[in-house]
Amino acid sequence: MRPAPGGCCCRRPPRPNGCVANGEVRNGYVKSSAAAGQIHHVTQNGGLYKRPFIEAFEETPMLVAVLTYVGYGVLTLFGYLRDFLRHWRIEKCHHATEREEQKDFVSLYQDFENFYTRNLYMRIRDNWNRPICSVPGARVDIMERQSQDYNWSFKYTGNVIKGVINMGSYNYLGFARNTGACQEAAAKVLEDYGVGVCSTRQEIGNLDKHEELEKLVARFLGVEAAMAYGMGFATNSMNIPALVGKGCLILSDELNHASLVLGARLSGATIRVFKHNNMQSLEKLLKDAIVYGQPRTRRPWKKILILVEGIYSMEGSIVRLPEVIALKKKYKAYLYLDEAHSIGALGPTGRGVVDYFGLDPEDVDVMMGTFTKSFGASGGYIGGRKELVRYLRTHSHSAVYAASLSPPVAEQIVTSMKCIMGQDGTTLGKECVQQLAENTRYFRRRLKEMGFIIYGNEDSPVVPLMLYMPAKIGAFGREMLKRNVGVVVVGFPATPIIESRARFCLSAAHTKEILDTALKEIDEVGDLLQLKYSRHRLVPLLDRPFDETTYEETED
Amino acid sequence: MNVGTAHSEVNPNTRVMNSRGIWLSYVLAIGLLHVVLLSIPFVSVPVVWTLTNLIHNLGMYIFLHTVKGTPFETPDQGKARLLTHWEQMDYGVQFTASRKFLTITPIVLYFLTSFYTKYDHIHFILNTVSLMSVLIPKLPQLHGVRIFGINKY
Amino acid sequence: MLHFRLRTETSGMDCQPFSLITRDRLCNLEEPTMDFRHVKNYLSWLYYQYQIISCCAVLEPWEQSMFNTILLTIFAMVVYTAYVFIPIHVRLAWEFFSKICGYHSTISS
Repeated sequence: MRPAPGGCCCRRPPRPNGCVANGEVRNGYVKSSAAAGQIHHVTQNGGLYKRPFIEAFEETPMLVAVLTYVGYGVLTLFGYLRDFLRHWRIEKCHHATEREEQKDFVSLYQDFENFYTRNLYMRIRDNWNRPICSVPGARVDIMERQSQDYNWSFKYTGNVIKGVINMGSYNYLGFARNTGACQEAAAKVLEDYGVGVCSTRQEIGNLDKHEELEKLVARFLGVEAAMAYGMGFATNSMNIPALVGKGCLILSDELNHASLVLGARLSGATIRVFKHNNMQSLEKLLKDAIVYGQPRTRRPWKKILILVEGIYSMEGSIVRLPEVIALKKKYKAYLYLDEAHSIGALGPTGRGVVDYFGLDPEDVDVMMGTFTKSFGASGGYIGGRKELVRYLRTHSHSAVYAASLSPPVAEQIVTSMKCIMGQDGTTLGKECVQQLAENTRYFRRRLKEMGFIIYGNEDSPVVPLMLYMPAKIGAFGREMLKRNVGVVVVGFPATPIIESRARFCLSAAHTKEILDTALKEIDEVGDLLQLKYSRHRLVPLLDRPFDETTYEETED
Repeated sequence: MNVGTAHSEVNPNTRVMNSRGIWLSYVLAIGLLHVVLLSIPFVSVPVVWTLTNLIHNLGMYIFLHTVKGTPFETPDQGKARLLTHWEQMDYGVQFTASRKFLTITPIVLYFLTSFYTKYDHIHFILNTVSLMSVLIPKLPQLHGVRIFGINKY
Repeated sequence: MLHFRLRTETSGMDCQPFSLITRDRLCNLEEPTMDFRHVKNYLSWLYYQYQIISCCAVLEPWEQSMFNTILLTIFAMVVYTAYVFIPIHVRLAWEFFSKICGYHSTISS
């Protein structure tokens, strides 16, 4: 049963100061009512968490939810009307249809599956795919475009909107630059090696740059060995099938990225989903898996792999890594941690979520991450024990079939990683990490004070701001661009139907002045569009507005 | 494939009816429909109630039991393309909370309509036929069944 | 449990009158001639809110006109019916309840 709001969600009676009794592992939450009647849910599990873990997901106000459905209802009705007009040729049809001769064949285009794209997405399409024409640093130049036929086609006016404050790029440490040490090193390597590798790692595409990079990554993460790939998405989707197969069990978080989901499905293993960041749900699944084994034969599972991410980019939440590791050790499962957004962005030395919680990297069996976000390059890596990396070199599809990292890109990663580690002799890396943490805290605090609903953990540099209503998605994007701030907005079906949001990604390259300007504009647009929904009624962490019971697809 | 998704739900249509506030919106929509019909001049109250009942059941039949598939692309290559929204709800699990709610609402509306039309014969026949048309497709035995091949593809 | 309350629209009445066409922000409200402009700005801000919430803002102009016409017609009908019928209903309800209270008082006396 859902605990009453205000009830404590512990399994054992808590002590007043939150300590554990005789040092055993506990999975409870202690609610400490803070000042001004706000309910802060700070989990302090004695030995597990060394710092307060403050995560909040405020519940949607009921009036806002009802109005959101009204909005979607109106748009759906008008969508049906426009489809009717297009079908009877009263109106010109812009989308793809079959030729006249093929009308009697089995249909090539699923018209109804494009309903949403045609009738809702097209109306606000100018907020996405905006062409930028400069390096995506703290400020970016965007090419201006106009549409005469309601976003079905765009024309460039020839103007360039210069100096747009960039709140959308995953540029956490500010390494997306076209000047400085990284750029000079990459330019030199470009002169020596060229751009293309023209082969896979296994054939003749294994450069000394790659070996250097992998050694450096292993040292950075604190693991025995690492392997680098050319594409972050492909790292997940091609390596999970190499690690698990039929007869194995994958326990995947509800909000995992599409690359993890794709990799899990391609592997052929059984997938069970646990509620987002919910350790009770994960423990229950682990227990059931070990007690009941495989579905029909009741044999034990060959392997149990837990897939989690460091920072979830759409929610801004951070994984409860200490508890996951405690569970993994207790039930002898393996852990695959995807640090795409958290590497470089969390932790006092920028070494990711393991560093943030002060844990031992050897507890995580497979540490995966990408170089796209904090290192200003592209590609992904997997780190772990020597045997794991040796196995992946021969068995991973990415290593065997995909072209390897381009040399200037590898050099960019090497230089930026050395900078973060402090090995280039400056304190630039440390300052960037600290600046990002300060920016995060400042930005989140200011937005909360203004009254917006912000999801996620206090320390996460990804800040989703809730918009809810479909028309506000388009209006927010456009109004912010008018005020020279570029944001990324997301709506249904990428998010649950009422939870459309704008997602800000903070960067160490943002100075306080830039953040203040951006906050001022967000404040203005928030007043204009009435986005300040927050009533400071924080929902207890276990009472997140997800269903009590989730139904899953049965496996055929 | 939706790359930037905030959930790993394969078919969001299955969870729409469980979202926050949708039951309230549904009841409010019925109320609004009734108020609008009441404001039409020269129409008596029994006729208004019968009209509410008929329009509500017609709308429910169209949106839950006629329209098939999803209005967006799903990553499961169209597994639900031939299923109506009712069949997609909660991945086909029967007797969930939303299904019970959507079954009870037409029945409650029917009771109210019968009361307000004073059990007149013609109104009774119309309302009962309409109620049957909306209750029968909800039976678990008719999950995926297409009578006479109507609405199969 | 249904928790909702209407937010009081205080932010519309502060010293930042809204204007879609121009971006000038006038904060002084001392002159009496500014009241009319202030009211006009507030009304256009309110209309913009209505457009945003009902998704009219993303519809094409002819769709907007159609939607507004239908909505206004329905609203006019509802208001007219309410004006005609609600006093009658209120009077009937009042008589009904006073009859009950009268019945009680005759019983008690």
